[in-house]
Amino acid sequence: MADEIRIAATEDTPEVVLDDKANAFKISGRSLPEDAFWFYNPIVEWLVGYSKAPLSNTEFHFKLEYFNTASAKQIFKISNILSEIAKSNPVTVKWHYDEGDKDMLASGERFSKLCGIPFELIQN
Amino acid sequence: MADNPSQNNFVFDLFRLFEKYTLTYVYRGIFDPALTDKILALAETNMNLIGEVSKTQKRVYFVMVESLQNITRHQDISQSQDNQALFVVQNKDGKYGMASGNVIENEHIESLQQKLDKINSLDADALKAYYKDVLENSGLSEKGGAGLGLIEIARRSASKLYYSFKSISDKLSYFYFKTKIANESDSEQTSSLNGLRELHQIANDKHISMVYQGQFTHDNLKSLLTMTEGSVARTEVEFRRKAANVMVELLQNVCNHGSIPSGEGLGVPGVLVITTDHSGCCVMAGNYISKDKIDKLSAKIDKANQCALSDLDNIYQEELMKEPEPGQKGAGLGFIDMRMKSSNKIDYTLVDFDSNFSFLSISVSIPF
Repeated sequence: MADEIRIAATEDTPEVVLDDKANAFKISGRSLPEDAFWFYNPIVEWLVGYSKAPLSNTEFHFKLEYFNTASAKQIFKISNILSEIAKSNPVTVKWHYDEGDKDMLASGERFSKLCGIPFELIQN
Repeated sequence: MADNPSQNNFVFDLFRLFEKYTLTYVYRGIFDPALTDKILALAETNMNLIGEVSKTQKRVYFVMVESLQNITRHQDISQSQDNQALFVVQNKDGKYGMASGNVIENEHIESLQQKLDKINSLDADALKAYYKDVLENSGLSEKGGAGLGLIEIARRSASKLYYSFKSISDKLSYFYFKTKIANESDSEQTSSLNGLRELHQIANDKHISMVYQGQFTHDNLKSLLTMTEGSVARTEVEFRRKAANVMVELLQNVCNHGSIPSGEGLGVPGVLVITTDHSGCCVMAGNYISKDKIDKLSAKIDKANQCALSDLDNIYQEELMKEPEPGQKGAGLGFIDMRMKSSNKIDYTLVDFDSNFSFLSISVSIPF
């Protein structure tokens, strides 16, 4: 298994934690990099690797303030990988949104529908 | 606002007005410490971007701080929507000017004018002595200043202080104040002071909160975003996020697709305008675009506009699942997203610039 990924948040990219030893999976903060592919590709690749030998129960947290449309495509990719994992091992996706942020709630519902696994929608 | 066809010509007019007076940045509204910090941070980022030498940077920074404090000290009397204070930064080939317009009580005009005239009559040595004299002999005025700020501005800028007053009522007037960090001639100064009055009128009429004119890069986009968030005077999470989202998409569009007709500079030249009125805020961006890109762009905006609000979600999902085209910048989702976030149509205008380029203005209204 590849080493864990821990990336600190910046003004335009989110905090990322992908750590199977600690069972911690999280993307949180703002995501508006202009080159979202460049930022997310290592994350996507890590998850593809992880999907081959996942934990018996994966709990993945999205806790986003906002994201640009370039990031939306990458989040979609990530939710598809999670959906793949869910075919063999239980996956819980917790989609956090701030109180009153209807757009973020709707985004969670949309990604859940598109990747075909239920998200827990959690108001902060 | 989106239905007003003149809205975007207004963006181009403003762009040209800014070019004429070499303005780079305008803020209008209520100035609080958090906002002034952001204004200063943006100025720093932009000076770093163009590689400004640190001596100039320090002088510009100092004069900005003092000018902003002048505004905050006096703004308690101008809480009306229609006569909010204005702060302007001018940059002409690295020659900076700072200007402000704010409401002042008529009873203070005479003493202020005396101070300004006195400062303008003194040379560098006399100014130094006068500074010391004021510091030692007069207490702070009730507004917290003793004219020291003005003396310091004159000393640091090594410039005369240009000013004028414009009557509002028998109690209030606008006080316009301008200084520079460069050798502009007196006639240029007077001209830009007139420009300032013209600009303040437009800003009041159009409810402008903020204008930035200059280079757009992915780096200064972040400071611009922080800055504009400060000028969105609403606290509701949902509205703030919508506004931020629309700004990000619009500005990333400018960076990704805007053209540089002169072929010079690190960033894409353009303008960002934010207006706020009782119904909502409107985010507008203007930039040059190569004519061969126009058809594709128009098709994208028209497609988003023609789509009923209830269908947007489906269109968004379709686009989300598409594989990106080779070399595609962005997700192809920007306009659909802006339309979803604003629940309004996207207003755009193209103005012919030369045989290769047009000036594109896009505006998105976000209701409160």
